Amino acid sequence: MSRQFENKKKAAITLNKFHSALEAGSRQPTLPGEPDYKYKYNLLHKRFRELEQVFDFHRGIIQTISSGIITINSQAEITFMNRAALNLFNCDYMQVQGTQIHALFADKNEAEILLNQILTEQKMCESTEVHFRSQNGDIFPAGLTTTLQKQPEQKGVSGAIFIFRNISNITNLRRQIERMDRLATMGELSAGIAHEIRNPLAGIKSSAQVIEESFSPGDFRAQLASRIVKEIDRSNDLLKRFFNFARPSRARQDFHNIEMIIDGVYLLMAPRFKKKNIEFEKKFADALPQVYVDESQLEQVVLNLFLNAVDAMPEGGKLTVFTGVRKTAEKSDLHEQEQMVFVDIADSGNGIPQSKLEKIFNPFYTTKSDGVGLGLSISSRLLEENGGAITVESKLGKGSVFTVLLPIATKINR
Amino acid sequence: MAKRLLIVDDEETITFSLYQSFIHSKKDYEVVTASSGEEALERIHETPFDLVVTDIMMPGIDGFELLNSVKRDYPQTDVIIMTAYGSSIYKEKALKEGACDYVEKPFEMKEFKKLIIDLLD
Repeated sequence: MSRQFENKKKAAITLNKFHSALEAGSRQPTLPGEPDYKYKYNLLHKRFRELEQVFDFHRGIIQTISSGIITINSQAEITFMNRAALNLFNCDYMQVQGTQIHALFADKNEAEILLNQILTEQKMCESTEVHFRSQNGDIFPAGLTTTLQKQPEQKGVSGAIFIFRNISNITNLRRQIERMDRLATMGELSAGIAHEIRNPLAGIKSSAQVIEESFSPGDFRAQLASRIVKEIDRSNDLLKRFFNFARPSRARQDFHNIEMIIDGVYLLMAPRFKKKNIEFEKKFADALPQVYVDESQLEQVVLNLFLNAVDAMPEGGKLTVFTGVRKTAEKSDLHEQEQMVFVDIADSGNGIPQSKLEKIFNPFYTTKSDGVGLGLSISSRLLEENGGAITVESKLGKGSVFTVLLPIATKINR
Repeated sequence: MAKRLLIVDDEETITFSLYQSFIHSKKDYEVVTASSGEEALERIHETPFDLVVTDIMMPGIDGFELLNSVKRDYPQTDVIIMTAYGSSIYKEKALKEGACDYVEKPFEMKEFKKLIIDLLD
């Protein structure tokens, strides 16, 4: 399509040159019949200018639109990519022109099936979620709509138009909602289980204590009963930990400086960082607004993330903490404010494979041999209690960045 | 006249162990157990008690309903709430509705007995 416009534009330019040549020639004595010829030429020239304006107008729309547009021919070869598409794929048009569009998909099989549907079965996609891979290897989810191109009086499809948007933000929000649902279910379940286990524990414990009381302290039966009580207490402590996860105590929010909270946790962790050969760097933004959070709950979150970072860098590495203010996508149930304070905790560890990224916030999911799998799910839940959120980005071999979003202390909560 | 204590829980091991603990103590208390809120109200209506110790979660009349009935009809009777739900919400609710104390299960028998004895004596 664009090539046709380009050709017409070239023709207009050629005509313009021709006109200039004619103008130069008009100084010559006029020939019979010239006025008619000049009138026709001027009309033609006017039409070309109008065509040029229409071309510029449409090109402007296509190039400035925020959705990515790609056109392909019947062989699935790329015939056009607009600016948004080139930016999303981080590529140069010359690199991809004429190549198969399959290469832009994260999963070649998915691409094969989809293109077969479009070009052979002539089915169109409407807001279908697909995964593309940009030139630098990043995979991003996209909402894709396709339109078929048909030449009049021709059988089959001459090509197709792909219109898409990067829906990473929407996907992340959806994941957060799903995660919260899972945590809520898990929470209710744990609370129920904790109650059901505590009742028999209470029965065993009180019975054992009655037995203990009925013998002198030195009697072996009293000692055995005492052991039963100790073991019950141990089990109950474990239950309490799960119970805290299920129903964390209500957040006692107040306004705090996030830097002070991070510094406090750092002081606690500094000896461990040193021992594990981890360099710690903080890059705090100037004049960061105060956050409205429960201090001890936030300390627990930061501590969890620091401990995970240490585990992610068994050979040592670098842990960097960035802070600042970030605009959230929009005011929503998840983000009560349009702007939030962010804390990025970036490690230089091995990174987390994509397949595991979605699971790491699930309760009892762990990759550590001695882990319970509650650190990140508790952190996520605590942040939820504080009106915040947590997200993660990770690259294999490069490390992970955990982002904590926190509500800014406003006049209202002051 | 001996002080009267009513222990209410659908967990019979708990009522039995508490009962055994009191009848073997030196204190001369009259200890009665009930395994439901309904049974507890029957015993109370027969002869009022000085102290009622009750669980919250029971089928039928639960601990809070029992607390409200007792406080309405027998304001002189003290009530201790015990529960296996470790939530501060229950504690606040129990104290607000007139319970004189709140105990989490599993409890320390010695401490729990001291609390009961202090209230009865």
